[in-house]
Amino acid sequence: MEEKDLIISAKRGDQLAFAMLFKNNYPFLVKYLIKITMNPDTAEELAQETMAKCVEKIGMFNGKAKFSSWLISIATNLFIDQQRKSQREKNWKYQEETSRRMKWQLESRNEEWNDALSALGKLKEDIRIPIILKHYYGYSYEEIGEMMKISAGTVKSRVHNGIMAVREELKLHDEPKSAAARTRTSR
Amino acid sequence: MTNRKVLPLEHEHQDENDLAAIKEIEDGLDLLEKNVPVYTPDLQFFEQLITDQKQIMKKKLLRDLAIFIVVALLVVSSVLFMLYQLPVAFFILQGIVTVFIIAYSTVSFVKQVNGT
Repeated sequence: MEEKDLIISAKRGDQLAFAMLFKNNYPFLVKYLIKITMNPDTAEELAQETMAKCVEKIGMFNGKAKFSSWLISIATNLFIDQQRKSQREKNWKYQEETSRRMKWQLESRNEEWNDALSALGKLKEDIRIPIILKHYYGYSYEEIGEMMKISAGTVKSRVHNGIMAVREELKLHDEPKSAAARTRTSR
Repeated sequence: MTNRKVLPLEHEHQDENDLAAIKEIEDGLDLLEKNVPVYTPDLQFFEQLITDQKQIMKKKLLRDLAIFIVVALLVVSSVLFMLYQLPVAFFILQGIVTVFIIAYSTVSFVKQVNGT
């Protein structure tokens, strides 16, 4: 059964079709949530909440976008709301701690870690999410704007600022520019 | 279009650094994608989740409906009580509500016009 048929059946109230849709999209959803939360436990909890919300809202799904895109759009908004409610966004240490725990988890299994992930972990979620959606999943600024309920221009500026912050963390500075400035001042 | 020819070289260098940062981000996220194991539960788990959620929705709908009916009965009975026992108060209330609706609609309309 194709995804479109499953969606039609799910809309009609077929629980098995709904369950199959969820099962097919579950790994994609959880992996996306791991990337934005940097915490596998939170990712699994959020995935279940996302699916519960999805059952509520399936009637509103118009089928224009892919089902997986709709799922991550719901998941993104749930995560942002959750962060706002718990006011964790104000707690910078919490985010750093989460990414450090993730690093430790990977390294304890002899897996690699990448400094860009630490840099991403230090960013606020409303900046980290657009970067992940744009540069990992390849969504357009307009699509991300629709998902996050903000304008495409805001998405663009958040992605730009986020990349600049990551560059700072990774120490990818404009060396020739600063070198030129140095020679100018030495003269 | 003509301005394109005089793009400063600094921008090109900046783009290179941006691309390098983006590449690092992509590699890092790829590590998470490949190295964090995800266990997918069986079909029954998802079916149970859907059944539970539908039960919650049903309960919520019944609760909301009950609240709506109780509030509606209260409003209707108090209005009828006023009409038969305190007709003056009833007509004053009708007048106040009408004025409020007209004022609210006018203010909203003016705000909308000024906003566009």
